[in-house]
Amino acid sequence: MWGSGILKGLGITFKHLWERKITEQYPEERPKLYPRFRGRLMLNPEKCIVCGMCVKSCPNNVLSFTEARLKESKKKVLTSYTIDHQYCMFCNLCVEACPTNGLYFSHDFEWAAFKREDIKTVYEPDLTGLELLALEEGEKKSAEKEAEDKLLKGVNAMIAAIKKNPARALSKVVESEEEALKLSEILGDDESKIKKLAELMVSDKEKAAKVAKAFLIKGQKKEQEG
Amino acid sequence: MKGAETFFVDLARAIVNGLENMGMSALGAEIILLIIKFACIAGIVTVNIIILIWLERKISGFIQLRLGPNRLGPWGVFQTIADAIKLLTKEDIIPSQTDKIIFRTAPIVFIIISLMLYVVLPFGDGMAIVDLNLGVLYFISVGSLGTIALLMAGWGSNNKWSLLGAMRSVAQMISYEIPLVFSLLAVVMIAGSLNMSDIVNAQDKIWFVFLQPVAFITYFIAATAELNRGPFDMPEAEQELTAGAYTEYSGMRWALFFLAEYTNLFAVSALTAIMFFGGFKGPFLPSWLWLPIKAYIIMLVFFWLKWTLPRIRMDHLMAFSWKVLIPVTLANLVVTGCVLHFLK
Repeated sequence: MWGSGILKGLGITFKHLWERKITEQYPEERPKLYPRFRGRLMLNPEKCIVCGMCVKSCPNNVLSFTEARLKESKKKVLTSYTIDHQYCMFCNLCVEACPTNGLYFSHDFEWAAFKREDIKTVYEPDLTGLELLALEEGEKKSAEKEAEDKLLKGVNAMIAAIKKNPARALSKVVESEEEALKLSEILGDDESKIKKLAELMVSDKEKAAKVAKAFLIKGQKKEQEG
Repeated sequence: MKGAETFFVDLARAIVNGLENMGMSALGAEIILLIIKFACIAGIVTVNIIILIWLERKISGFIQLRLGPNRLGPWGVFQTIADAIKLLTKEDIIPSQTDKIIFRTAPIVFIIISLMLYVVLPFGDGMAIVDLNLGVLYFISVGSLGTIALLMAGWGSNNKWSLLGAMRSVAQMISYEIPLVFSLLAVVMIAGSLNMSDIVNAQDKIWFVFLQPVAFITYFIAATAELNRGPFDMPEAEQELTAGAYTEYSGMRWALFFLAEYTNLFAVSALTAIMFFGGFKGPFLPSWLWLPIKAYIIMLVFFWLKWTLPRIRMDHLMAFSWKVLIPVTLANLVVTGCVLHFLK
C-alpha cells in the first residue's frame, strides 16, 4: 500500500521510544572493561628481578630504571623504575618479555593531567634497612675499570708473546710467516713500537694489520736505502 | 468544577469590573484587559517553548536510543533555561556585508507574526482573545506572512546559503499554502463558519477528522511543510545549507527565530486540534485544559514524524505539492460540496 513504508518507519521509531537506552552515563556508570583491556602500564616492584628485559623490548624507550646490589647476597635490587606513558603505544611487548609477570596493564584509563610530566609513573621501592653495595654510578665506574684492566692484561700478554715467539704472534696481523719474521726484525727492541702494535692487536685487529703493513714498507725502504 | 471551567473568564470580568469601579471608562478597562491578555500570551508562549524544546530533545533522544538532556535538574528540565541564558548573553554578531536594517528586523518580524497567530485561537469556551468572525482566514493570512520574514533574513544576510534557504522556504511555503487552505476550506464548508469558536462548537457530536479524513491528512502534510519541520525542513537542511536562512544569525537573534518556529508549531497544532479534534471540547477537564492537551499530542506526532522520516528532495517536495496534494484537496473540496448540497 502507498505510504506503508512511512507507517513501518513510524512503528520502528515508536518501538525505540520505549526501549532501553544504550547511552552509558559515564562518570557515574563505569564502562565495562574486558580482562585484557590495556589501560595504564603498571609494575609490581616486588616481582621485579631487575633483568632489564622490559627496557630492551620496548620499541619507544618508555621504560627506564636504576639498580643497585645488596651488600650481603650481591643480589640486584631496583632503586627506581620510570614509565613515561606519553610514549607508550600499548604494544604489550614489555609485558610479554617480563619473566616474572611484574609488568601488567591495569584497567585505569583516566589519564588526564595538566603537565606532560604528570603522566609519568615513577616507582621508588622502599630500600630502608637494606645495605647496598654500590649505587648505580659506582657500579658503572667499577665496570669501566674492569674493562680497562682487562685490556691492559691482554696487551701485556701480547707483548710477552711477541717477544717470546714473534713469528707466531705476528703472523696474525701479516700474510705469511716470512713477513712476520721480517716485521719482528724491523721492530727489533723498540718497546714503544711493540706496545703500540700489541695494543692494536688486542683492540682492533684490522687496524693492527694496516699498521703492521706500514711498518713493513718502512723497513723495506730503509733496507733499500741502506 | 463549574468554577474551574469559567475561572479565566470570571477573572477577566472581575478585572474589568474592578477597573470600572475605580472610575475608568469601559473602553479603557477593555484596553487594559487586552494588554494583560497579550502579556499572558507572551508568557504562555515562552514557558511553552522552554517545555517544547526540552520535550523535542528528549523525544529525539529516546527515538535514537539516547537519553537526551539529563544533567541539569531532574530529567534535564532546566537544560533549555540554561541554553536560553547562554543565548541571551552571547555576543551579538552582525556580519559587515549584511543589509543591517533588514538583518535586524527579520527575526523581530518573524516572532511578531508567530505571536499574532495566537490572537484568534479559542483557548477555552469563550477564551479567544479576539473572537474574530474570520478567524481561520486571519490565521492563514497572518501565518503566510512568515515567508516574508524568512526572505528578509535570507536576503539581508548576504550569504548564498541564507539566500538559497530563504528561496526554498518561500517556494515551499507558497506551494503548501494552497493545499493547506483547501483542506481547511472543506472543514469550513461543513461548519459553515470561519469563526474558530463556531467551528469547535460544530464538532459537538463528531470530530471533523472523521468527517474529513482526507482533508486532515493533506492538512497535516501541508502543515508540516508550512512549519519547515522534518521531513520538509528544506529551508534549514543542515547538511546542504548549514542553517539555511539562519546561517548568519547567532545569539539572541537566532534564538528569536528558534522561538518563532516553536511558537508556530504550537499555534498550528492548536489549529489542528480546533479544526479537526473538537478544539477545547472534552469531558471531565475544564475546556482551557483540553486544547493544550490536544495540541501537545499533535505536537508529539510532529516530533515523531520529524525524527522518523528522512528529508525529502526539493524537487520531490514541490512536485508532491503541485501534483498530488493540490489535486487531492481540490477533489475533496468538490466531493464535500456535492455531499453538502445533496444533504440540504
